[in-house]
Amino acid sequence: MTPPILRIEGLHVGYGRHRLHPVVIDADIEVQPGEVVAIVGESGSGKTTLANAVAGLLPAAGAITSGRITLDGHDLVAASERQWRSIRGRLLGVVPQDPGVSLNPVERVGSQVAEVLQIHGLARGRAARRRAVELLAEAGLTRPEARARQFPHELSGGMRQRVLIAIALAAQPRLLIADEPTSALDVTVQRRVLDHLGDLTREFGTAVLLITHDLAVAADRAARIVVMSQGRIVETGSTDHVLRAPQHPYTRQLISSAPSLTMVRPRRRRTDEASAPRTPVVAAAKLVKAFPAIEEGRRRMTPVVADVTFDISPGETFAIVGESGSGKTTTARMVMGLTRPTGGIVTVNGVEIGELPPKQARAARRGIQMIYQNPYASLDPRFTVSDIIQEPLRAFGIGHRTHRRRRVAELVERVALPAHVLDRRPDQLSGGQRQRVAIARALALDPTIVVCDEPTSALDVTVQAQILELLLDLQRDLGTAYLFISHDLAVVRQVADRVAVMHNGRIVDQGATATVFDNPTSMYTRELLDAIPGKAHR
Amino acid sequence: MTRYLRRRVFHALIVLWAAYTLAFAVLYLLPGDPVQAMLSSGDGPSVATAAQADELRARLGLDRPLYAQYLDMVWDAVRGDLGTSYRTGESVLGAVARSLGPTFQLTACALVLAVIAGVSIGLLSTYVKSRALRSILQSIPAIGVSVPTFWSGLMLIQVVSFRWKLLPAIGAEGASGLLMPAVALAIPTAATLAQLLSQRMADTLNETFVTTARSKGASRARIHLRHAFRNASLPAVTVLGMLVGQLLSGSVVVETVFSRPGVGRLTIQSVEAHDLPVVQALVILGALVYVAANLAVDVLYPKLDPRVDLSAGASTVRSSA
Repeated sequence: MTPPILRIEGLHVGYGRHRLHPVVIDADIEVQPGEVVAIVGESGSGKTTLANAVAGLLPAAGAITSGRITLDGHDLVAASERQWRSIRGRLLGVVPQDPGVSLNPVERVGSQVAEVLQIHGLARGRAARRRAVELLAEAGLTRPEARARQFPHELSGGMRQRVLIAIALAAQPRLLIADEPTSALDVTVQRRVLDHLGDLTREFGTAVLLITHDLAVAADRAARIVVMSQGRIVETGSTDHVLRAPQHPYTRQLISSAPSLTMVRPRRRRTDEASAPRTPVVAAAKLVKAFPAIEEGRRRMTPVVADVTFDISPGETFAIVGESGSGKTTTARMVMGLTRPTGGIVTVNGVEIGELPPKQARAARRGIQMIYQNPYASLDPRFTVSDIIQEPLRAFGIGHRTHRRRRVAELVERVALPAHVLDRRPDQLSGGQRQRVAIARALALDPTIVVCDEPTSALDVTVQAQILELLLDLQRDLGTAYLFISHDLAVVRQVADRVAVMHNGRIVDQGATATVFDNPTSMYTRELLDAIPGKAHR
Repeated sequence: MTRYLRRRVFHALIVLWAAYTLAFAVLYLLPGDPVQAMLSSGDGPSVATAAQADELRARLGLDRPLYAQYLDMVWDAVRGDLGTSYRTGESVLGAVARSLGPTFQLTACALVLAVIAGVSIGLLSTYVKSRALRSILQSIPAIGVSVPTFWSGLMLIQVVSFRWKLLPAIGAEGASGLLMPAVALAIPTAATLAQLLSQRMADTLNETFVTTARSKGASRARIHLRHAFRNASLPAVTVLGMLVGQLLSGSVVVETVFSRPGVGRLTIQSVEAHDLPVVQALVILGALVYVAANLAVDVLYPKLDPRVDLSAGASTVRSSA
C-alpha cells in the first residue's frame, strides 16, 4: 500500500491568548494519493480550522498546540515561512469558500492565474500567460483568451470559482483543499463546478480534502467521510458505510436532518381544504416588474419579473423556487407591497396594498408579515427579545401593557423558546433561537399569511430541520398561509403544498409539489431536480 | 468618456465663476479702503489730499456702483484680462505668472517628497515584523499632521543651517535652497498619506483575496506590493487632489518663513496692500489648481480601479432583482 499523501496525527488547534480555547481536538486523518475525503460538520465544528491548519493559513489568533501534519513527506507543523512558500500553491492548492471576495479586484484574472506559475518558477512572461489561458480553459471557462483579460467583477460567481480552481490547480499540486467551494453558488452551477473539479483532480491524480456542511455534497463527491462535531472527529469511514450504517448518534442526526438525503414524501394538500375552495389570501395576476438598465448604450426597461400569476389559499404553503436572479425575491416584495409592480395586480386578503393610501396600506399590512433570511441582521441588537416581539403590537396600538406582555409570553412558548430568553438580547442567542424570535414577531399580529424569504438558509442543517418543523406545527395550529421563497428544492419538497419554479423572471412550472417534482414539465425544472446533491444515496 | 469630460469641464467653469464671485463679494464688502491703503505709505497716516484720493478712485473705477464694477471685471476676466495691480501698476497676469515658477518648483518638489515618504512609511508600518518598530512607524504620521509648518520650517533652519551649517537658511538659489522649504511643506502631506495608507494596508491585508495570494505561495513582499498596496492606495489617490490644494495653501507659510518669492508671498503682500485684482487672480488660480488636480485624479482613477467606469456615469444605478 502506498503511503498516504496527507497524514494528520493527534492534531490540536487552540485559539485565544494562550491557545486555551480548543477548536480542533485530537484529530487523526489520512488521505491517500488521488483520494477524495470529505470533512463534514456544522458551523463551529472545527472543520474550517482543521483545513486552515493543514494549509498553514490559521489566523493570528490560532495555532497548532500539538500533533503532526505530514504532507508528501514534509512536516508542516515545523515548516518555516520559507518552506511554506514552496509548499503552498505547489504541493497544496486551496479553493476558497467565497469566490466573490477571493480574487484581487484590480488585477486581470489571467495574470492572477499566471502568478502561481511565476512564483514557483514553472513559467514566466508570455509562456505563463499562455499557460494561464489553457488552465482557464481546463477549468471549464468558455472563451478563455477573452476571460483572461477580464477583471473579477466582470465575471459571474460560477466563473470566478472556476478561476480560483484554475489557480489552485495551476502547479498541479498533490493535495487540494476545497473549503465549501460551492456553497455561495446556485445549485445548478454548484453541480457543474463540482463535476468539473472532480474530473480535473481525477485526471491529475490530485487528492482532495473537501470541507462541507452539506452531507449530500460529501456523499456525492467523496470516497470517505470524516464527521466532525465540536472540534472532535466523531466518525470516519467509507461514504457508503457512514451513510448506511452510521455509528455515532450525531451522524445519525445529521443524516436525518439533511432534507436532500431523506426520502420525505412530498406534502399533499389536505383534502378538506382542497374540496372547499375559499377566497385566496394572496392573488397575483400577470405581475410584471421592470427596471431601467443600460443595454448596448441604450436605456431600456428590463423585465425582472414577467407575467407571474398565482394564488395562495388560506392555510397552505406556496413555494417559489428559483436561483439567484430568477425574480423570486422581487415577486415576494411585490406581494408585501414593498415594490410597486410595473404591470398586473396583486391582492392580499382582497385588497391591493400598493394602491392604498398610506394609512390604509399600513392597516392592511397587519395581515401579511415576513420572516427574513438572516436572523443575525433582522433583529435590532439593542432590543430585548421581549421588545422585539412586542414591537408590532405596540406599533398597531394593540392591547395595554399587561395584555401585550401576556401575548409575548404566549408567543415565546408557541415557538418553543424558554421564558428566560425574554430579557436577553439577540447577540446572546444562537441562530436558531434568533429565527424563532423572528417567527414569534411575525405571528404577533395574527397574520393570515407570512412571507418566508429563505428562512433557513443561514442556519445549520440540524437547526434548519427544527425550524421547518416549527413552521409546519404553527401552520397546523394557527392556519397561517406561507409564501415560501427558497433556492433549495429539497427544503421546498419537505414543506410546500404547491410550488412554482421561476426562471429568468417567469414561472416555468407550477402545481402541487408532488406533481412538479415527479413529473416536471419544463427542462429547467428537470435540470434543477437533477442538480440536488445526494441523489445516489436516497 | 468625452461626454464625461465635457460635463466635468463645464462643472469646473461653474466652480471658477463661483470662486471669483465669492472672492469679489468678500473683498469689496469687507471694511477697509484700497485707495487709503495704497496712499498710506507704510504704517503712517495718509499724506495725500482728499482730491488726490478721489482722482485715484476714479482712475481705478472704484467710484462706480458695485454691480458695474463686478460685470466689467467678469467680462475682462473672460477675455483674459485680469487687470493691473494697484500696488505695482504692472499687469496682474504678469505678476502672477512670475511668481508661479518658484512656487511650482517648491510644491512639485514637496509633492514628490510627500509621496515617497508617505508611501514608504505607510508600507513599512505593516511590513516590518517587530512590534515596537511598527508602533513607532504608526505614530510618526500623527506627529507629522499635528506639527505646524512654520514651526517645522523654523526648526529646520535652526538645526540644519545654523547649527550644522549644511544648507543656506534663506534664498532660492538652486536645489540647495529648495530642499528645506520643500521638506517643511511636505511634512503634513506626507503624514496624511502615510496615515491613510497604513490604515488601508492593515485592512486590505485582512481581506480574503490576500489569503488566496498566500495560498499561491506568494512571499510577504509580493503580497504587500502586488496585492495589498494597489488596493490600499486607491483612497490615497482620491485625496491626492485635495492634498495638492493643501500644498498650495501651505506655500503661503513656507515662502514667508524661508523668504522665498512665489505665489504664497505674493498672496500675503497683495492682501496686506488691499491689492484686489491680484488677490482675485490668486483666488482663481487656487480654484483652478484644485479643480484641475481633482479632475486629473478622477480621470486617472479608472486606470487604477477597473471597477470604476466613467462612461457609465454616476446617474445610472443598476437595480438588482
